[in-house]
Amino acid sequence: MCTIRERAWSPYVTGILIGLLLIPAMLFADALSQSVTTLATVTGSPFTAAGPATGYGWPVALLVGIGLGASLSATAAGSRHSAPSPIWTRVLGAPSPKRRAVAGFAGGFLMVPGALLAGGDLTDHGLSGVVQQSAGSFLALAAIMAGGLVTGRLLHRL
Amino acid sequence: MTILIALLSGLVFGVAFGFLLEKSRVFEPGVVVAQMQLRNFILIKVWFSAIVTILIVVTLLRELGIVTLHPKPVLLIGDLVGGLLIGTGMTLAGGCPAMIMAQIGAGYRDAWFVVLGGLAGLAAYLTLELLLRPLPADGPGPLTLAGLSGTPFPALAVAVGVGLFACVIALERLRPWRLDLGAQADGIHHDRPGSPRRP
Repeated sequence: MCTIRERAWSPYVTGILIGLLLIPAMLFADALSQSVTTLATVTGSPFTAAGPATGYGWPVALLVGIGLGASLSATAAGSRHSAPSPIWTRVLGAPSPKRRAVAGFAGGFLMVPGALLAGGDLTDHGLSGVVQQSAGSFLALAAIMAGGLVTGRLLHRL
Repeated sequence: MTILIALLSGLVFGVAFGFLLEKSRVFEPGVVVAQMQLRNFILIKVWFSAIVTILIVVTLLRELGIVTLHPKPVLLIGDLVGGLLIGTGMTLAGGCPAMIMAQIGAGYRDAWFVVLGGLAGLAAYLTLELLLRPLPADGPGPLTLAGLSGTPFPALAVAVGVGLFACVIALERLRPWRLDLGAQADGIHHDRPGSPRRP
């Protein structure tokens, strides 16, 4: 179990490993004060800090690394994708690459300003924010869930 | 710190994080969107397991005086409006920025549209920045649940940890994670009533 060739590892094993991995990453990003994993760190939120304390290189390298790591895992397990996920045909109501492109673009267009306004995204508020018991992060999480659940309801359920 | 160390360490953390995101299947759009529709619970299981792990270690480090925490200031409007935008955007895009990068790594070329949208959103945000800047300034500063409730930090940490752990146990009993994977481990179920046939 949990070999590199396996497609899926237990969510509990991966969750614990992600937690253990993010602890030094958070400490490294100035004792939890910085966003760790998002584009908010790339640009620096004007509301929380002048810019990332660790410089812009770290978050950009992190995002590139995430792509490489996922590529490594998918290649080893033979689970690389060559077509969009079938979920898009279902929730968008038609097997339309155009609809997926529009929805994806809109999603990115809303998500990045959202992360800048809230000073972090799901990973920041949901991990480092919760652990620090930050009231603002709980508020942001409630709003993230509300937005996600309402949008989820508006999409097709198949 | 030299830029080289920042780049190398970011890359190393990123590769490990991306690897785990892929293995956990939490980066799959099928898993993310179905989580928002409360039909799949892999995302919550991975997320809560990670929180409980970090909670235990960080609370211990804090009690031992090894780390100091810096909670972000509460931004009433920023957190609320930003959170709504993130939740809506994540569901339409099929993941948060880290997951989108993992999707690109795993071969989902359609995830590039999310990157394009994100860059356009960044440009729009920077253009409107002067208008938006006064909005969140009305926040009460950094507040923690411990500070608000007068409960000691470690007691609340234990309460949050136990609560999340209980949630995960209950969810797993209700719906074992292997059932949520689907045949291709992408969160898609072809055999559910009303589902379209496999192409």
